[in-house]
Amino acid sequence: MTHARRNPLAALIGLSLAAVASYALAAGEYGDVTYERKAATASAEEVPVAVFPHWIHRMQYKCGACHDELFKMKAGASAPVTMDGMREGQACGVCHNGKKAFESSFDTCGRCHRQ
Amino acid sequence: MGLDAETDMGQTVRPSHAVARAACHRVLALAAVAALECACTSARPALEFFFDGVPADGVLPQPAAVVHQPRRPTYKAPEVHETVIVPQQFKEEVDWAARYAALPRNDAGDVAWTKALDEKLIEPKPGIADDAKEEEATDLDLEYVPEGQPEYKVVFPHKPHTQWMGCPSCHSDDGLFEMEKGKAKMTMASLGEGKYCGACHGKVAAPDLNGCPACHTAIGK
Repeated sequence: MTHARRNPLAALIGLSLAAVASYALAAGEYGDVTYERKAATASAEEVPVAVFPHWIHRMQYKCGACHDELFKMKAGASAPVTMDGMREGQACGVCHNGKKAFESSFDTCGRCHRQ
Repeated sequence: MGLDAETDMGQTVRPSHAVARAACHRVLALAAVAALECACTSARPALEFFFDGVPADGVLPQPAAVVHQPRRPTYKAPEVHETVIVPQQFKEEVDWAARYAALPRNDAGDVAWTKALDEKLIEPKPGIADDAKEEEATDLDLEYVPEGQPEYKVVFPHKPHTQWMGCPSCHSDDGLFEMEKGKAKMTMASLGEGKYCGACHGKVAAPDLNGCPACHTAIGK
């Protein structure tokens, strides 16, 4: 899980991290978080990895709503986000349960799993 | 009259088989005529007694057209009891992308989130729970003056940070900053490696901070 970097200064200094790869992966919006696939159940060709868009969440919730209780600030420090876990109300499933926000279902795959 | 004559004749003639047969024929003929007469006059009352709808004299009964029922009843589609599940509608009438595009941006072209919050262009909720309470922001400016380089003085404003998140996001046992001032040995390089301010700035928070003067306030003056 990596943050998209766009700051040229920070990118230059922090090249030792996986910044280049994440920059290439998450070409969406600044602050997008591209998840790494850990489960071997699907290939990237079948289902793209999930991308978390910070921007639309930031417009509706302050940082403190999710950080640090639900998600650690540091990318990858939180418990792995799984589809099963979300259906049980963990991680994104706290809100994305079909009540507060759209739930993870076969109708909504592409909203997170996108190229 | 004739009958009398014949009777007279029969009485006068000696009975024989022929005479008896002739008399019998006459009686039978008489009975036939009587029966015919009776039939002609009583047919109608008898018919009307036994049957309904006897046609009037001289009217031929018209047979009713035979209506054949269809060999099988016309197909009627069974009533379908459909259960329509309407997906729950969310308040997605808000065009977030358009609102996002309209947010103010700094010189580097990045969204000026704090300005958007201050100008109430966005009204983000403080918590996931519907009854989450807004916490008061900490208004405390800290100054960092690099040794021998007062022109690079940095001012860290707590307020724009604490109106977004709580203290533990930065101040925790394994957090970014210890509470004690002066413990953090920050350099631009360490920030670029993702330490201290660089944990957020450059990744998810305003990456450029309007360039140097955003933090090195003395430079802009």
